Amino acid sequence: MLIYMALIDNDTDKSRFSVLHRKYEQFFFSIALGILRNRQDAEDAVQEAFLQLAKNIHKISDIHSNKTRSYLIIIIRNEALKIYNARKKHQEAQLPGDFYGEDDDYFTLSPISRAISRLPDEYRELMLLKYDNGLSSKEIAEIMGSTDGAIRQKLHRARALLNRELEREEAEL
Amino acid sequence: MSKIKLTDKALRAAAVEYRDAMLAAMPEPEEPEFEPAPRYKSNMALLLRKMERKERLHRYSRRAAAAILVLVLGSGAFIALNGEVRADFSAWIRSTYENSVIYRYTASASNAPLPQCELTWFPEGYELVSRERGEDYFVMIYENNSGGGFMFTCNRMTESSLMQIGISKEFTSESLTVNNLDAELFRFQDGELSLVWIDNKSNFVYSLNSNSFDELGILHIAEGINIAK
Repeated sequence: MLIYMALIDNDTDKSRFSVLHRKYEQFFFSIALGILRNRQDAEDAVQEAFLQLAKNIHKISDIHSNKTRSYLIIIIRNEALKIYNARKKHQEAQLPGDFYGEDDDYFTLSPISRAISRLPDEYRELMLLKYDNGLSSKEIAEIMGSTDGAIRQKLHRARALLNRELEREEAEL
Repeated sequence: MSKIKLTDKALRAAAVEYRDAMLAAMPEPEEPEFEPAPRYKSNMALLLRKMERKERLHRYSRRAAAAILVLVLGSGAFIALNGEVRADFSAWIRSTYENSVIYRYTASASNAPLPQCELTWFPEGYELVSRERGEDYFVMIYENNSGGGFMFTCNRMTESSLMQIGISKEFTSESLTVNNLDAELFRFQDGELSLVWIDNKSNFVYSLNSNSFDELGILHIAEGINIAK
């Protein structure tokens, strides 16, 4: 077991977590408030999202990348939805990240990307966390508030749904 | 069945493409005025402090190629050593390799509690920025505003402990004493210094590591450490 490795360096970089906190706190709050419509609940979601980020900070290689941004959006969205579901609020959730627009950009995407965009929210996010962020089913389970086994099953279902979407598109052509 | 194969590679590429398209299409959210409640502020301040401490420790250890590495191996997991010599410290065997020195601890583990240490002297401008204490070790990191820093550590050695100094960096070493305890000073090619001393009675090993001081500076700090057992 490694106890520690010791060396002083001159790296004066600010803590990556602090940088992400400054960059995303307001953004997180906006997304959470959009879903929860309650400032106190939104604050709770933001706090939970940063706790999730704290646990997974080692997974983030480039704090300014699209990959990180997408990952953080999924985290805050899920934390807000957990609170939303727990408190049984009846307002309609405004979910960021949906991308259903069938405009010109949509048709420039590859067939698999288009199929991903048509998946239900939960499955789409699973695909992103798994294949874009490279998380394990256990790590995804922590973010989604689920279990390793359940996430494995859902990933399997997501692939099956993707296949069905691709078949449907091929049949329409 | 679709003609398109859903391989992991294809899914990874599609996920990246979809993510970029999604972010490009996503409108910037309205920015409501965010005036967090005091409870949120204090919780977040606590989390930020904890993360800064954690990341600082991680950064120090990640950059280490390393100056000092202390390992606790399972029983019987000792690597074969050639040219072993009994170190001056009776419970220790010291081996020299091209780019490292390995101290192997051979006595029983000490039951003594970790000591409380206080640095009675260190250069002006430095402050304690991180303190990590485990069951068998503690680490204290001091930094100044100009990027200088030093780290003081203490480890309880157990029967299977192994301490490796150098590993990949070239260095020279010199034997000396710190407050009458046997010590070894390692000078690395990049200017870094590591001072290691061993309390042979309690079987604790102490180290000071810095690239900010000369030999006299690091010895001055070491001699001024008040160790309360």
